[in-house]
Amino acid sequence: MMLGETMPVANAWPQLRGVSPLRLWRCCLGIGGVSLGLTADLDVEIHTGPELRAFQTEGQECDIEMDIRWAEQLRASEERPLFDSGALWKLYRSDQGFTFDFATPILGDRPYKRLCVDRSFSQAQLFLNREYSSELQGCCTLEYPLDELLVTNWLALGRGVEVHGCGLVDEKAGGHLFLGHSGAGKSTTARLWRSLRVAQVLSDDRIILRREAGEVWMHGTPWHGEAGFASPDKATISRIFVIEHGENNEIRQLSKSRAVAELFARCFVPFHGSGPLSTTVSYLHEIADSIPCYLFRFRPEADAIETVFNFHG
Amino acid sequence: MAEQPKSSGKKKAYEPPKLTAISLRPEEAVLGNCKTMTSGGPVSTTCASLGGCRTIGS
Repeated sequence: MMLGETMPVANAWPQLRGVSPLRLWRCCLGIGGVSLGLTADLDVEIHTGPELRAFQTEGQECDIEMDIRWAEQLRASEERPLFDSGALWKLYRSDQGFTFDFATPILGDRPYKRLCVDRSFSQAQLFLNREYSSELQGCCTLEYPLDELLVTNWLALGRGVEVHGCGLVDEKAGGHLFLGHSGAGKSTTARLWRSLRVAQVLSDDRIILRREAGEVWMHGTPWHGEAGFASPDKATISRIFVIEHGENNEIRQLSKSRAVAELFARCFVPFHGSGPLSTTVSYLHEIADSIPCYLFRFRPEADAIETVFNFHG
Repeated sequence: MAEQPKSSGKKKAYEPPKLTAISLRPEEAVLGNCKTMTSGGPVSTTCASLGGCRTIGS
């Protein structure tokens, strides 16, 4: 089978490995301490989007290497998916690892792109469906959630975890992580903190947690929230707050078990296998063991920031 | 036969285990939906028609 023909999901890789077209484009990104190398064929027009610009790095060999190329046609798989997100993507098992198919009713049943990855999530190939070349023109190649799926799956092999949170570093109070579901007040917290304190916001929506040299670090990501904070910097964490809207400002310490459960409810973990789930829960245990975790019910006003600043647990 | 060490303190009162329900948001956790309706991010800047921000999930 040649590149130009339709590819079934299960054996998308072997037939393509012999093809070695000219390579023109190369880009490296660093997100949460994970390096991602993109290499594209001569005829692939690559867009990484403005948000990823701050995350571009110099690099030779990256943690995740991804080839990007056109496929003349991608056909919807008839296999049973390993996991169905219920939205843009479905996951299938393949001979080499996993295959993510991205499809939208706007374009029809056929995937507009297909991501094939090995079991370690370190080698990936992204196929863009040439049937939709006009629709794909100008699109960010790593369009959400592809980039985030890659990174979260790579992290879930005992390397870290991404959480739904706002991470910031106050010049005096240090690193604070505010975890919350959508609408809990992460972007509001970021805006308030920036307007009232001298603070750097790493992200107002997505933070990557990694253990490095015995300490837990929070990394900013490009996947920002409504307030638009997205920094490639990182910091250690003094305290973790699970945030909820409340009638008053109130802080309560969480038990370890409750903290792990609340962290898990606000993390991004692959649900297709017990291995990544179990590894992530263990990782969250280690985090809850080393950093105090609190429930913070708050009113989205200036005194909420004072409450946290003046709280010494 | 070695003597068993005597417990110095009072026996801790039994506390039955408590069950606490923690709410999950599967639509957010699986990275299936759009992050925001209006802002950029690698979400939907120029290709909103593809990903399709039909549901806000995270």
